[in-house]
Order: sequence, then structure tokens, then C-alpha cells
Amino acid sequence: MMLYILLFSAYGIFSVSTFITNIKDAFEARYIFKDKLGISERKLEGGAVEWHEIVKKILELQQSGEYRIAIHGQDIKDELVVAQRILRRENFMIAFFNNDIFDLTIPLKIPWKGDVNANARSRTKFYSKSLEWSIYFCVLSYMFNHKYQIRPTFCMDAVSLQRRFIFCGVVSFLFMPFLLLFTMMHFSFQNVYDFRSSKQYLGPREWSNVAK
Amino acid sequence: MVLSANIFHERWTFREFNELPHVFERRLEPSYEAAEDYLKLFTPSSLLNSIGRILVFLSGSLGAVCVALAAVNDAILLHVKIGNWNLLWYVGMLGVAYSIGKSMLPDNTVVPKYHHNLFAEMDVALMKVSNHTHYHPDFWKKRGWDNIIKEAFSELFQYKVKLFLLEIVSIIVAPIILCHSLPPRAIDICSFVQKAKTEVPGSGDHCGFATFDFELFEDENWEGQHSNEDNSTDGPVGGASIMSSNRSAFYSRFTSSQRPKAKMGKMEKSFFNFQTVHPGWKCASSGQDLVNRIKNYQNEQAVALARERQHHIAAAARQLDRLRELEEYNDVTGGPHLEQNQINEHYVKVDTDLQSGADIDPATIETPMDAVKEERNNLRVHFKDLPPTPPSTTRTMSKSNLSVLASVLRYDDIGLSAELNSLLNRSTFDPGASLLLPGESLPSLSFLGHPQQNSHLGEDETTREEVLQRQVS
Repeated sequence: MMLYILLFSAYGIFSVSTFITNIKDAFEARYIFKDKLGISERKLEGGAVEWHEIVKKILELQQSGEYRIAIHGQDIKDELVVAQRILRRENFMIAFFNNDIFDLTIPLKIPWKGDVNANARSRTKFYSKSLEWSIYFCVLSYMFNHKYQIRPTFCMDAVSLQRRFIFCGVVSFLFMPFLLLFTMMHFSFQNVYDFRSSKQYLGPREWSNVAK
Repeated sequence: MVLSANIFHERWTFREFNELPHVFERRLEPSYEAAEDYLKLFTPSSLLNSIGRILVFLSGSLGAVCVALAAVNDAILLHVKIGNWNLLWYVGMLGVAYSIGKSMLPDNTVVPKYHHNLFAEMDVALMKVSNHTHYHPDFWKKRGWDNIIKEAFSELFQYKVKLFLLEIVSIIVAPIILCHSLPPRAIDICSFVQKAKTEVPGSGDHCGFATFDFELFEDENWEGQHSNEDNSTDGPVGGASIMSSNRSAFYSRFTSSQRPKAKMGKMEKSFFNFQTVHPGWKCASSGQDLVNRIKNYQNEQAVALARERQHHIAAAARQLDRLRELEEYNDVTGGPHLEQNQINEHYVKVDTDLQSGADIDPATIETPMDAVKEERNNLRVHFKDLPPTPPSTTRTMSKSNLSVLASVLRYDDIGLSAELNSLLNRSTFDPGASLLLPGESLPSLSFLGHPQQNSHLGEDETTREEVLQRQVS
């Protein structure tokens, strides 16, 4: 019981702190948009400005030397670099999934059906937010050093990656009840109203679950 | 939105390199509707159908009674009890039963009662979805009607509640995956990262696919590792199934191949997507090569199409000339029977073979009677190049046939000649005008035929287009 109170309060503190940092970032972004790029808040929210226009403006400022954004002493050259920088980790994640690197199946054998994973197309992959977070932690957060280069040791050292995986597995096992409770509450808070208001669209299976 | 593709795993599958989140959302937004349209085409089985009808009928009628009672006095619903529950409870349950039964019935707006080609429609619907998601594996192609494909598709596009259950299950199995399935892959992951990384000067290491550097990347990381690399890069030029200006077909071509090529396809798709999102972006030389190749290919196809069309137009113009000559000839000799026969013999070519439909090759010339009959029955009526046959050959026809023909066709022929004169004065039939659009030139061609033929020509044009595309590709 104490553990759960602790966990919930930890989550609360965590979300408050992220909220504060988000606010800070937002103010900074507002300053840049307003003073440097000359785009007002209203215009941005109204959707009058497209992303590529913003990037173009930034690049123009960069070239004219008026307002330079330099990360690690290097200038931004073109739109591609901007996108690459923003999506550095995401790109790796997409590549992993595109190449089917992760094995997200479970070694389950149903007696009357044989091996579940025998047919490559029909096998079920299990993937959840928590699992994604674990993978992110194990793989991506260890990949880059402070200069955003891939650490040489990461590629060499598969054993420590294994160790991290197992560590994450143990941790997620310990936190499983908490996570279950949390996802259920989260889901119900988010969706109960939708289900009530749109019940005619629901199939029979859904009703038996929500009606309870 | 009850159905949604929000399963996280698929997000990573659909998302492309260097695709910013808001672009991704914008791309995926219309896919929900398309996906629902696709799934709606699959009707529930007739057993479910009849159960649903019964449910709707029973619950609807009983519910109506309850509502009528409530209108009289609401206390009735509260205080009359059947079994352990009062009527209000029954009203709620009836409502549930009604909605369940309703969901079992097929949607009449989507699946009309009359017969139509449902299979083709399913295919088209699936293609529409893929246009948005950019995901179309090879075994999906042309098999949108297949139940297996439907299963695979609905695996990606699921009820929210089912997604939630999956989420819960996957939380439970997450430790197993993390401790059992993933550690053996650690070496793969490391080597993959090693191979896929490229250093961009000034901004650290990136995933190589995201640099859009086709030459470099193929050379360093893909060649040798994957043998069929050349096929995928040459695909846009020599590919069999690509239609010009049809980008979705182009995508599906790339993703359709084997695994290593599918990965490449991802990079190319991302490249084009990125280009459309950033119009001002100047891509590197290797990317420009790809763009040029595809543009060339599209141009080639457009030219080939126009050339084929020009053949048809030229042939039609020649026929018109010939017809005019014949009319002048008839003005001199004044024989309506003769004129009819000549027109029917030379003017109409009935091509029964679909494959050779677009070619202008000398095929069988039917006798006039047969030609007229065939002309009405067969959709594939073609104009034909006139062989330089002297008009006197038609005098071999029997007298009775000629008179019948003439009586049938005299009226049409008067209209025809009038049309002809006006048409011949137009410039659209100049054979030199090569790049005529079908909408401009070809409808006027259909004036030529008599009324029965008019409708046929319209359909004929579409079939000819299909044949053309098949031949060109």
C-alpha cells in the first residue's frame, strides 16, 4: 500500500516537473517565434503558417547572420538537417521496425495449434507503451553521447545491452500491477464518455466490457 | 472514433523517415475513413444477418411498447416488475439488444442489394487506404477481397477496446519479451546500428536511411548485404506495374518486393513525402537522379500514350477522307445501295481479340450484314485503316441483302454525312496534332457512328485505354 502511494506521488511529481519544463520551453519558443520570426501566436494557432515556411525563415535568418542557431558549433544547413535533428531517435526506431529487428513475439505453444510463431504473417506482436519505453531506454538512450554521435562502445558491447534488457524486464515485472492499474484508469478516464455517447457504433464485444 | 489505428507498433510501421509528427498525423487522418469504408464492404455472414434482424425486430417492437407505456405514465416503468427487475431495466437492455442487432445488419448504403463487383471494389478501397498509410505489402496486392488480408488489415486497424485489451496483455507479457525474446537480438541490434549509422558533418550521427543519400547509402551498406538492390533502384524506369503519374502504384511496387527492397522502398517513399512537405528543399544529387528518372519515365509513358492515340486519330481522319471520297463518288453515280455497302465493309472492323485491340493490324473484314450485327452486339468495334480497294468489289453482294441494309441505314447515313462535313472542317482531326487529350478529341469521333454505335464507342475507348496501359507497361 505504501509502495503504491509512493509510486503515485512519484508519478505526480514527475508530471509536474515535466509540465514546468514544458512551460519554460513554450515561453522560449514564443519568444523566438514572435521576436525573431515575426509570427504571432494567433497566426500560428490559426494554421496560417506552414512548417516549411517556418523552417525557411529560420534558414534565412541563419544565412543573413541575424539570428544564428548553432548546435555544437555547427550551423544548420537545410531543411533536411532540421528534420533529421528533430527526429534523430525516431528515425532509428522506424528503421528498427522497418527491418524487423525487434522480436516482439512470445514463445508460446498452444497444444492443438502447434507453435504460434510458425507462420510469420499471423504471429501476434505484443507492443505497449511501457514496452516502447523500455526499448527506448535500453537502446536509444544509450546510443548517443553528448555530441549526438553513436558511442563506439554501444556497437561493440552487445552483452551490456542484453543486461539492460533483462534489467528492464525485471523492473517491468515488479511494476506490472501498478502499470496495469494505471493503464486501466487512464483508459477509462479517457474513453468512458466517448463510449457512452457513441454506443450505436460499438460492436457486441465492446458492450459486454463497458457495460460492467 | 471507435475504430482507430492507434496501436503503437503500427505507428512505427507507417511512419516514414524524417516525417515530422504533424505531417504524419495529417497524412493518417483521412486513412481512418478509408479504412472504415474498406471494412464496411465485408458483409457479416447470413447467419449473423438473420440473428441481427430478429434482434432488431424483437427489441424494437418491445421497446416501442415500453415507450408507449412511459408516455402514458412514467410510474409504470418504475413500478411494474417482471422477474426481479423493473421495466426501466428492460428498456435499457432492449436498447442494447437493438444496437447489437443493428450492428449485425449490413449497411445498405455501402452494400447495395443489386449485384456489383464487390471484389474489385474491395481492392480499390484497400488501395485507397494504402494511399494514406503508404503501407501495402506484396501479399495484399490484388487480394483485397481475401479474408486473410482482411484479417491482417483489421489486425492493424482495431477496435479501441480490443487495443486496450491488447495493451493490458502486452504489459503482462512485457517481462517475458524483455527477458526472453529481446536479449538474443542484442547482437543484431548492435550490428544494425553499426551498419546503418552515417555521420553528417556538424550534426552528429544519423540513421542512414534518413539522410536520403541514395548512392552513398546503397554502396556502403546495402550492396552485398542484399543482392537484389539494383532491381529496386531501376524499378521506376523498367518496372512492370507502374502507371505514369500514379504515385500509389509506384509505392506499392516498391513495397511489394522482398524484404530488403521493402526497406529501400521506405526510404524512397520517405524521400518523396519529404519533398512534398518541404517544397523549397533542394535535394542532393543522388536524390535528384531518382526524381529525374521517374519524371523521365512518366514523360515516356505520356508520350507513348499520346502516340497511340495519334494513331487512332490518324486512322479516323483517313476514314473520314475516304468516306468523303465515297460520297462524292456517289453523288456522281447516285447509288445509295452501293454507298451503304462500301461504308459498312471498310469502315467497321470487328476485333474479337482483346489483346490485339489497340493495334491497327489488318484483321478479318466481315461481310456487311455480319458487320452490322456484330457491331451492335460487340463492344470492341474499331475504326480501321482503309485498304485501297476499288468500290466496284462490293457489287458482288446479293440484291436482297442490299435493299434491306439500305432501308435500315439510310436515315443514319444522312445524319452521318452531315456530321462528317462539319467534322472535316475542324482542325482536331489534323494528324499532325499529336498531344490531344481524350476529352477533347475523342468524343467528337463518336458522332461518326449511328446511334447504336455511339454508346459503344464510349465504352470502347475505356477498354482501349486499359489495353494501352497493359501494352505500354
